[in-house]
Amino acid sequence: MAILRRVYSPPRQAQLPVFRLGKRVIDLEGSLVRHESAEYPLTAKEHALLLKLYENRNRIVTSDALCQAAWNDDYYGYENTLMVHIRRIREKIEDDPSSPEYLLTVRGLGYKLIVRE
Amino acid sequence: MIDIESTVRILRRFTNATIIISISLLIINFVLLGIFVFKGTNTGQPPGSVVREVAESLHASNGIYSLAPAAEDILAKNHAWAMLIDSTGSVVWHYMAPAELPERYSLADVARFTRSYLMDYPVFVWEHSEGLVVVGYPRGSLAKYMQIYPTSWVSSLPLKLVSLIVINITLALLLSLFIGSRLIRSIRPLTQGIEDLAEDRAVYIEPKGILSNLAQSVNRASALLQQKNESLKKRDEARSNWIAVISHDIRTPLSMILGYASDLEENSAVPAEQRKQAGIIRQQAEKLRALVHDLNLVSMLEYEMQPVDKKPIRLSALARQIASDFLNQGLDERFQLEMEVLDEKALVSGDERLLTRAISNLIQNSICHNPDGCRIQLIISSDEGNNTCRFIVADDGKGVSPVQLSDLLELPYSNKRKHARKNGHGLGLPMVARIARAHQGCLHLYSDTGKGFKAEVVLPAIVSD
Repeated sequence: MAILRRVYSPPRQAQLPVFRLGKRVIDLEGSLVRHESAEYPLTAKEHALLLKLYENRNRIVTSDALCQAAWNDDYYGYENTLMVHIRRIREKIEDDPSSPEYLLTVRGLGYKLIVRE
Repeated sequence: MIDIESTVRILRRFTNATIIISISLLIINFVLLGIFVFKGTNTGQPPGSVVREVAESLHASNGIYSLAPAAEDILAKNHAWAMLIDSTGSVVWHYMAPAELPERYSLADVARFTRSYLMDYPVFVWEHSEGLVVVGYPRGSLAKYMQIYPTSWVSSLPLKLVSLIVINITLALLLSLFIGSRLIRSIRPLTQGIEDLAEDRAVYIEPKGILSNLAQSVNRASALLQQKNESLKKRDEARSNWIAVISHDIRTPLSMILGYASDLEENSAVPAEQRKQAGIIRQQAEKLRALVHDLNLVSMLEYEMQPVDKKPIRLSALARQIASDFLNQGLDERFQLEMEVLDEKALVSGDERLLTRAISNLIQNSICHNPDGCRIQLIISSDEGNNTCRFIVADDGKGVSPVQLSDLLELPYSNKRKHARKNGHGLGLPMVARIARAHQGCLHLYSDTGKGFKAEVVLPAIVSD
């Protein structure tokens, strides 16, 4: 019985990462950003983008890869949409969204999430 | 495919030729016929003029007739005889007349022989002041025909002749069309076969009709070509397989060398000096592994045996990915990688792995050959005129002289390469060129000493909506 349950039970969901960016904690499992006892929920797209960026943290992720992750489509046509979403993420995770410290733009290529561990 | 236009052209030329031949044949026939008739009927003087001359040169003086010597000569030459019948029907003068002839002739006799023969002698008559001059030719020497035509027939003769010619021409035309179309029908499989031969397809033509020999020759040529292709393919396959097997066999001992060398390199029990040496062994073994892999890939591409797994690829996305990979792997600060996407939409059908390899090779080349650093530009553009996309990798480094440039695309150690290679294993650019070719594209190189190096991969574009 135990064996059957083990075999047929749904595979345990991989735990989604929870990580710290400066004073903030990004909880992808709970899909929110915690900062000084306040909580900022992440939308589905923001969550997808942050997950992709975190999986490739400290490395450049191309805009194409980000669009594939969030919209499952080519970058072509999503340039502005992607920029808007990145700005919203920055508003939640950066101290100064106009001069980002963690979510950097790599001109012409994509974005890079700096995570110090 | 033999198109309808060329068929019509062949038919028209054939018909023209036939018409010209028939018309000239017709003319030649008329001329020959005329010559025969003229020649055959004009042996010597015509009987009509002979009898007239005789009549005119026969003179009577005191009841005695005398013939001028010239007329006598003519008669003698023609072996003819002559006589004069007076108005009463009796012969009053004769020259060499056969004895069997009667002395008197009735009106009915005269009428009969005038129209036909006198005792089988072909005779001709002419009036004379004293009666009727009769000239006779030897028996069986001449045939006399009397032709009588209705006037309507004679007057319609020109029309009849014209319609005869028209009918002749029409017949010739129809006949030539018929023969021509039959010829074309029998030629068509042959031309089809020859075109197929030119395009390297297997050909078999049913050998029949007048051109069966030709068909058999074409079949033989096709069989021979197929056989040659087959053996060439086999040889290529053997060569490529040989390289594949060798590179596989090298890889196994190589991975053991790599494994143990890195073990030693990281083993704290080993003295630092030896660990450094083990590191060098590992690095060189890694180079060797990359070289063997490249050699295999180039060989597979060369013999068109590398599977090309094509799917639509946006060149801009590919460029960003490659540039990011280079930057993520820690590109030295001496090098600047710049992107310029002139056409975000540029879409090609390609093997992502192979294209990535090609572009990486080009960037790696710029890095390897400019140890002092340089600016590397990736440019994506598309040319809508001829439906192609360009992936350009350009640097502002040392460049190469135009003389060396032509060598770069040849395989190392190939006899087409005029100069010895200076650095690198020399497989990089030939590999890019072959990858481009596997995508029905091409590689262009532009460079001069001190003016940087520019490589342009031109690929056929997919028209995107």
